Amino acid sequence: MIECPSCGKKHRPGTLLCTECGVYLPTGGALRTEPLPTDELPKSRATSWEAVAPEEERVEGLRPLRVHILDSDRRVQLPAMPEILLGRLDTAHGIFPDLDLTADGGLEMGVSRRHAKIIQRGGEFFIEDVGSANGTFLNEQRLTPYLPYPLHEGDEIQMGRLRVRIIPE
Amino acid sequence: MEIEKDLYALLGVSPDATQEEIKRAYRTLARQYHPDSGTEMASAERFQAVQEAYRVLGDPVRRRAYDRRRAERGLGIRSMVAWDVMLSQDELPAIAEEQMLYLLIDIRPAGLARARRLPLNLCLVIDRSTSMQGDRLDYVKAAAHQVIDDLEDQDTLGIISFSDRAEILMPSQRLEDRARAHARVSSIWASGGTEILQGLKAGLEQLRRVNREDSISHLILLTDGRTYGDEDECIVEARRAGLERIGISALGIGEDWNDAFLDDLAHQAGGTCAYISYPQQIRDVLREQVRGLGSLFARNMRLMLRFTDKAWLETAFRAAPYIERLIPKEGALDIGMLQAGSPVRVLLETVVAPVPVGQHRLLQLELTADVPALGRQERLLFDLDMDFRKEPAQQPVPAAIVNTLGRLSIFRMQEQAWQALESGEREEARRRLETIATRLLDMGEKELAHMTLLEAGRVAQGGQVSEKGHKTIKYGTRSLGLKGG
Repeated sequence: MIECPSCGKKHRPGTLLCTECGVYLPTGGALRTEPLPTDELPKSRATSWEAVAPEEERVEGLRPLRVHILDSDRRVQLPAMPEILLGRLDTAHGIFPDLDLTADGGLEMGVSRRHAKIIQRGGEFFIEDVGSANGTFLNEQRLTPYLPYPLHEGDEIQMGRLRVRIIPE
Repeated sequence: MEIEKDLYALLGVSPDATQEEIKRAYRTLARQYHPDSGTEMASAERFQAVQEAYRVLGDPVRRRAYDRRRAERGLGIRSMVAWDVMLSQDELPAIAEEQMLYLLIDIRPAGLARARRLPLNLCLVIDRSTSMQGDRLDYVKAAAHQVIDDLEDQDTLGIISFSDRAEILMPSQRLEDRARAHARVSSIWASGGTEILQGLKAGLEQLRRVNREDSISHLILLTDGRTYGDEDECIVEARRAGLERIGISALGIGEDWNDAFLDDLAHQAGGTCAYISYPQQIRDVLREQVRGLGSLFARNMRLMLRFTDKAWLETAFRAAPYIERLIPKEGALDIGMLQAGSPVRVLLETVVAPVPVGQHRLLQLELTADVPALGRQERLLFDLDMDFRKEPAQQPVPAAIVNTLGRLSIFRMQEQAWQALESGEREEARRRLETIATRLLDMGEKELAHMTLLEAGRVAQGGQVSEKGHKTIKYGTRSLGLKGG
């Protein structure tokens, strides 16, 4: 028998989904992001509190953004889309991030399944925390959830403990 | 022999080619592909593929075997229905305890098959009890007017209204005089109680009068109320209709109808039950139903499950086009209709007994489907022979199975929530409803999530779940099957 790590219910080997709590068993079930101890995360808050006024939507002229995931030393070109979700893949819950950080140690580093969004508007990039468990930091400053902050080349984003740098063009 | 491979296509001949034509095609291609041919077509790989194809098709005995096995998989030239059977693992560990194996079955019209629209033989059975007065009846009438306009000249339509008794507003007939049909619908007025059996019997009688082999006979019941004392008889009628290839669908309007009853009624006759919370939706839902019947491809689909002693069924669900728990009857699952453009997906959760290393037959699946356009039954077979090893290669589970399970799990959780509520475990029910709401939010189903949270709140405060909430959640999570793979 195998045991659901979330609710403890016992299942036959080969069971994919816990019938009790719905957890996907093959990934070990620890799909919930555990809060990290606060002293492991930067403390200062970002100074810009103002939401950025969205300019007119421009679908054409979207640029791809290149990022460097420092902890796994992986470089990725993000698709040229108005919104890019950063997080961890969870097929059972229908969460398909555009940048999946599972293989970069996302779970251990405290990355949520839906962690942050990179938004492209009027030729500018913005980053927005989407209610993650451990917060998003821009150059060591904690972002207020659901507010977009301008993003520049060379900026360092930190999701939980995982650090990502924007590669200059 | 790889039966998935289309050997005919490899040789560039049609599946009904003569042996002579096959031989000729093979010679031409072999010359072109031969590595020493010096042409730019030369390729050892292609040459080998063509040789292999000819080894099978060039031999009439092997060719017949190949054709038969292709037909059983729905890949044959004359197949109208095709299917894919996907497994959660292709190999299993040989262990000393029971283990789970999931089978995902996708059924769809075969590649070359095209549905010819068959004449519809439709009967609308309209509840005109007092509770229908006002908006409900007005919108039902508007919807019926729309159906009259949408139907084609070759179709037949009958209209029944019922309260405590049934009136034949229009006997089943071709729509030669649409104005008359419109006038009949306009004459409906509300009064009396709801006795569904009366309407059902009258409607079925009309359908039987004009039922033909090459038409699609279907009854659509529109009601907003409960019927008392005649539910069992209704189910018997529906079962009989199903055997006569007459389908029944039900549209429940508002909150007061008995969903378990209408679900069962429709299921018995291979149809569906839909929930309409706002009268404004009636027209679109009815129109969609009629359009779906027009694109009906196969009906009375049955999946026979022939398990060996090494495996058995734990649960079965239809996962698309809508979610439904399937209960085997005499070793078979009734899976209803197949409409062009909306494949039917079935998920089987099976338990595998402890077996020693080696290959073991676990089960045979047989699908039968009536294809009205052909006037015959299609039959597909699938044998599941599983390899059990000491250390099997661990393959990732196919995403389609994981996604399907994810969607099903929400539907199952709401089943569990209602069960918990019924047996008085309120805390359990609340917890489940809240989990469902979170999952729905994850999926972007904001409205449904909101409704579920509201009901969880009601339960937490010691209240009852509202009928509207119950039906919205039940039919909402069921139609999650419609959204994507």
